[in-house]
Amino acid sequence: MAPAANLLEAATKTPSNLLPLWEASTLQAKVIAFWQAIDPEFPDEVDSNQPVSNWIAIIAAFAPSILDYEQPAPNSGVGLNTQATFQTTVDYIYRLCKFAYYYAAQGLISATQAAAILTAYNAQFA
Amino acid sequence: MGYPQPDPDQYTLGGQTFWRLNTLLVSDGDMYQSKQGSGGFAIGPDSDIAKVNIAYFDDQVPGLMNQIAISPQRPFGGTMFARNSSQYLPSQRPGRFLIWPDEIYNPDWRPGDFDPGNYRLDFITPVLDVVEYFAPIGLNASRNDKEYLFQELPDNANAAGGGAIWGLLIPFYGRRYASIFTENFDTHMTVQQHIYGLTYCESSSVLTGDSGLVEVQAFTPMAAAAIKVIKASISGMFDALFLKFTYGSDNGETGTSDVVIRVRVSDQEV
Repeated sequence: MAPAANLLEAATKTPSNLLPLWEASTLQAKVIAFWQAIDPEFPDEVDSNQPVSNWIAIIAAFAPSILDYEQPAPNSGVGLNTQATFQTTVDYIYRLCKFAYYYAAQGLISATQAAAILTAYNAQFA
Repeated sequence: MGYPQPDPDQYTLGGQTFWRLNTLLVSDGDMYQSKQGSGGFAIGPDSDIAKVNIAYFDDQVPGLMNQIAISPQRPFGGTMFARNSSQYLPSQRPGRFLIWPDEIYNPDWRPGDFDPGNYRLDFITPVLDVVEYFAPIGLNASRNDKEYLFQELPDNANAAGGGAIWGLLIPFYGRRYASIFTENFDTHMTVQQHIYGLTYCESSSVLTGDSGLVEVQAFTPMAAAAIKVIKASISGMFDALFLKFTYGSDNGETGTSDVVIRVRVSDQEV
């Protein structure tokens, strides 16, 4: 796992950063902590926050279904859908970071809001 | 991203029976929304993006959020309510349709041999075209064929010495056919054309290497034209076509080079 200097780097590092968390079966808790950390920064009443708000809604709704690495039993050689939930998690975090990077570059969210996402990313995933 | 996005509310107030989201993609994280109830969703006629996800409010699933994906082969018809007064859980964000591309697009990708001093790279930005219908209708989500015409290679200060490169990326998501016509009208310069199929991924940007190489062909000055046809059943499917033109020496001439390239892409194998 490696800290990201900006949200674009965070996006491209997402597969490698989330892999050890998935393998340690801590990914679900980390993702929940991540969305809860950025949630207060994007009140839905502000129109320009709503795209990020939508990503938060998607990640929050999905997070409880993230499966632990070992399914259904350790070393059984059977992975029941856990690879799929890992890849979906990677996809959502990757897209949120990519979106926020370009959205912030257009000035549609503040530098403070973008920094909050990056800080939460590095705190939970790096 | 086209923001602020076109507002579905204005379409309904105007009495239209559909809302069309037709925008250039900025990144593959682009996110759009509609607060209007729907009679169906379909890929729009000019979309380069072939698969689009839609999240909607559903009382019977965890988080109260369900998803459906639409494609040219599979539009979705059926009444859905946006449920603005309800909230997704656990985020407590209001109900509405959430719309985002399922494809990956990375304008920051660079070829392995990229040299900023000797290499020009042009991306044709993918179009995201989605139609939300406000009344139940018969859905036909076929995409139009697209055609791209380039009548000059871009000038490159290094072309006189030979070896300069122009790279061109054309969206190819879900396409099954391409016809690439190339003709070199230049009186002096030989141009070598490489055609690659690219598949983006989230980490290293692209599945790279010569495995994606479809064709290499050299066009000598004033040579006859050539057409390369790519079919998914033979070459596989890609996110983008990458055309790479390596300029030969132009014997000291400067200015653009008279090379015509016409690319047509289609969902149907001809």
